[in-house]
Amino acid sequence: MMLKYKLILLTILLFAGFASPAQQTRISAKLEKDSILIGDQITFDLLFTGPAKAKVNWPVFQDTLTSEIEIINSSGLDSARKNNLLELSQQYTITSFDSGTHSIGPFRIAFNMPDDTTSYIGISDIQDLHVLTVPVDTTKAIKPIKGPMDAPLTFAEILPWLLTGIGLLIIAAAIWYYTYARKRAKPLIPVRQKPKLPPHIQALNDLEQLKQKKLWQEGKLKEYYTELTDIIRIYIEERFDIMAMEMTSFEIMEHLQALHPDGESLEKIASTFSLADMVKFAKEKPLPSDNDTSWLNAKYFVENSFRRKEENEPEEENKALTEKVQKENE
Amino acid sequence: MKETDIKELNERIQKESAFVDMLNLEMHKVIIGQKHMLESMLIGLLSNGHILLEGVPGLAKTLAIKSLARTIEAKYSRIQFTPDLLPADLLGTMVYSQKKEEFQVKKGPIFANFILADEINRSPAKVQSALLEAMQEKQITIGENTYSLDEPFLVMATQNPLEQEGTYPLPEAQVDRFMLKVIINYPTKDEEKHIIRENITGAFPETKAIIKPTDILKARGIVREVYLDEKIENYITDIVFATRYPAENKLKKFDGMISYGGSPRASINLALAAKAFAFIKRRGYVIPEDIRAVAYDVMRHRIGLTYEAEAENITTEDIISEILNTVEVP
Repeated sequence: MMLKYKLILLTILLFAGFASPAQQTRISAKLEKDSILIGDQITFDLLFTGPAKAKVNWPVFQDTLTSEIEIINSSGLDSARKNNLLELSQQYTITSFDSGTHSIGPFRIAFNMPDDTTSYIGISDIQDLHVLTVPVDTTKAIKPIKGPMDAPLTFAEILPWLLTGIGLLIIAAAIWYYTYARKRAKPLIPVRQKPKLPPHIQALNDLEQLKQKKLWQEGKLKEYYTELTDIIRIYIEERFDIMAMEMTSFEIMEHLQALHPDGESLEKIASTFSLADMVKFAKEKPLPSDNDTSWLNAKYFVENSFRRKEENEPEEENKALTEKVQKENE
Repeated sequence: MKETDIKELNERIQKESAFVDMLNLEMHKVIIGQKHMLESMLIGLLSNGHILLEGVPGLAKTLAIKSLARTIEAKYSRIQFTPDLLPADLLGTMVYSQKKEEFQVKKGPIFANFILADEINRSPAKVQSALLEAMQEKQITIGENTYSLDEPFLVMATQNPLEQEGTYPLPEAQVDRFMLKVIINYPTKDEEKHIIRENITGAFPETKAIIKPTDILKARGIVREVYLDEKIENYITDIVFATRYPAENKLKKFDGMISYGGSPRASINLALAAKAFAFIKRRGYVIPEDIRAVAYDVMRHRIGLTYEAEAENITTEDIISEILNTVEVP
């Protein structure tokens, strides 16, 4: 009896130590998911695990796995050796346009062992793929076929237009700047200009220059009074913002009375304008004292109106500018 | 002209122009308001120019010229221009006298000192031409005889600005022969109240003769003597040239708005009217104020507007205002 058990144990151990290659082989077929909507795409993996030295005849699929299942794409055959076993795998992207349940497999993969003429076959499991259709609401009207969808714009497509637009803007800006600069007779590279003298300084300087010209002493009365009134009119234009050069003496006085309510100053300048008009338009020849008085009246008017401005609106800025210009002139 | 000449002239004008105040006083007895119209009539009378009046009916145009004729003891005619008026109705014609068995001259209404050509644009061109020729030549030819018109000879033609249908607008060349084109406006509220009162009471005062036509002729001689300085001449030419070449005279905005500017007649009449205005103001010399005072009446009918100007509602008055505000006063 003891011997009988020993023989059984020996037989078991003998068979366990020498397992056949087919027993070491495993074929696995795996779907990404078992149900899809008609036309959806999923992956399908086919895996072979077998003896390391096995020569495998890997199945080649053309366009379809079965008559209902189409192959969209397939990866290359991947091989690996782990624990003295050979692993071969390939992934397929599949789809189906037939609704219903479709069986995939079983796939048979044949292989041989070296020094063995026997052909071994491994068989995969069967996988069921449920292809579902889109539910149709028959109560609603049939709609026309939807038009093609617009593909979103890519940056590469926009880039040429963007560059052209920027280029045109730069050209337009350059043309505008060039014409604007020309219109204002401004050089393209601006040159720093000498600051303009404040009106009262300019007027007083001009009056001093007029005095030094000694025009009336030389009998040039008309020139003297023309220059004198022009100095005052330019001063009024810049100081009071009145278009005095385009106004008659009467109009200037009318405007001044509204803006500069200093009776004495106005009276003096009015008498100067009146005398100047007589000299300019009526060949009047005033006395030398009148010529001096007219000059003094003009100076008084400029100084007085400037002082009034300083009292009413003290301007540090104006003073600073005056000093700056005087320094520059020196 | 020497200094003493102007002084002497001033004194003479002070004396000789005394009738102006009396005339104004007498005229204002019957004409309420319309100061500008009366002043323009005097300018025309003193400078031997004719006047084109534009204003709606009922503004005392007829009464004014009638009263002026009465104050000067002058002969007055009113001619209503109609589409069927003939030159002979205006000038006169040869009429066969059965008694004398010969053709005799029957002088027309134009043989008077003051003519009111009412609604001149209602008559065809041949009648207008007859009047304008008489205005220019101061003489009329009927048959084989030529007759000089009485001096002073003043034509005051009227135009209605509202009704233009069935009218014959005066050509530019003929309008140019009028020294002044005066726009008459409505009286003020106070003046209108005064007019109502006078008309209701029926107490219409009448003017009496103040001077004789020979006094006017004498005054005209003095008006011509009024001193016009070269500076004023320059001012006149600057203004007239600005109407011809606006772009060259800082008026680029009117470039393309003026089809034709003032003719040399504009310059002559500007000078003459300014002299008359100075006389009325009892001065022996012209000042820029005088030019500005008469500029609108002298130039408004001597500037032609383009379609562009009319489309932009620019009037000749706008152009004159802008010119006066742009041209430098001497």
